[in-house]
Amino acid sequence: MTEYFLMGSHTAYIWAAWGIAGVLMLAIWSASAALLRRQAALLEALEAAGQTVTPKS
Amino acid sequence: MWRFANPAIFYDLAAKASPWAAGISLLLLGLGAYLGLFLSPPDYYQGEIMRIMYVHVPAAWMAMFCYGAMAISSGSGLIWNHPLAYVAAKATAPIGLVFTAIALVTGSIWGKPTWGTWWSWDARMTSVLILLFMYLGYIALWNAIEEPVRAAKTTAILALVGAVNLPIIKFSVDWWNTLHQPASLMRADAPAIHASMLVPLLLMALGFTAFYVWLLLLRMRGEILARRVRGLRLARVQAGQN
Repeated sequence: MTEYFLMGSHTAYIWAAWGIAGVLMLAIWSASAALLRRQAALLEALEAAGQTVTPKS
Repeated sequence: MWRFANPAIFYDLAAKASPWAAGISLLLLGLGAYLGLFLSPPDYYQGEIMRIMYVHVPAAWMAMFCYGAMAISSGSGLIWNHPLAYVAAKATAPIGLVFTAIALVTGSIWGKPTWGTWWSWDARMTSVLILLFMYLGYIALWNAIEEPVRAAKTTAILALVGAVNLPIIKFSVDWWNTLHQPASLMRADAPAIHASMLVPLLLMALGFTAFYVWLLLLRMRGEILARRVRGLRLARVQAGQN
């Protein structure tokens, strides 16, 4: 099994590249999910507080 | 078709499509990574280091694809003045920025053992670095202008002007002498890559594309909600003034 992970003298380069790519993709997914959660919570709070205001005529 | 461009209808559709995009993305990326890292053979010339290609090349393609998508959305926004077009452009920018960063970092890591240097100011690398700055500038401009309509239009112009960099990136390896190798897959004749490497590369490229769609749907939903929040707050302020 170990031989699959040890890729000659370039092991560190290969795993570093894949690792950094994975971390960056995880980070942008996490930030995107957090953006959606934050806005959903804000909207819910505003609506719960009865701030759906109808403009005065 | 235009019915789906209604933000409320789009929001519901995107909520339903998100888990599918997530599942397809994770499946393709998992399969592509397994094939690319463990089953595909090492390259005759470069050996094992070539396995970086399976993440570097799809990231570079997506970096350009995202900017193209951002420019088309921005152009559509300016022509038809549809809010969803601007939402799509704004949502795409951070995703494209991350793909560009991945392409640059993995390219740099690949460059050290093959070229003997982490970085070279050659045409391909420099034009991709400029793409990174274009994304950063676009995001900074969105955040700098408070009024959303003016921000959308100003950033749309920036996105369209920056699109001139895309053909420069694509053809830089043909127009100038660079360290970077020429295209192996997207060329007039047959791809210069064996099927045992082509399959994992295409799986990773499709996985990256599905990942982009997944994140785009997430971010567009977030932005649609943000606009509703802004609208409610504005209505409250106006009601308070009257």
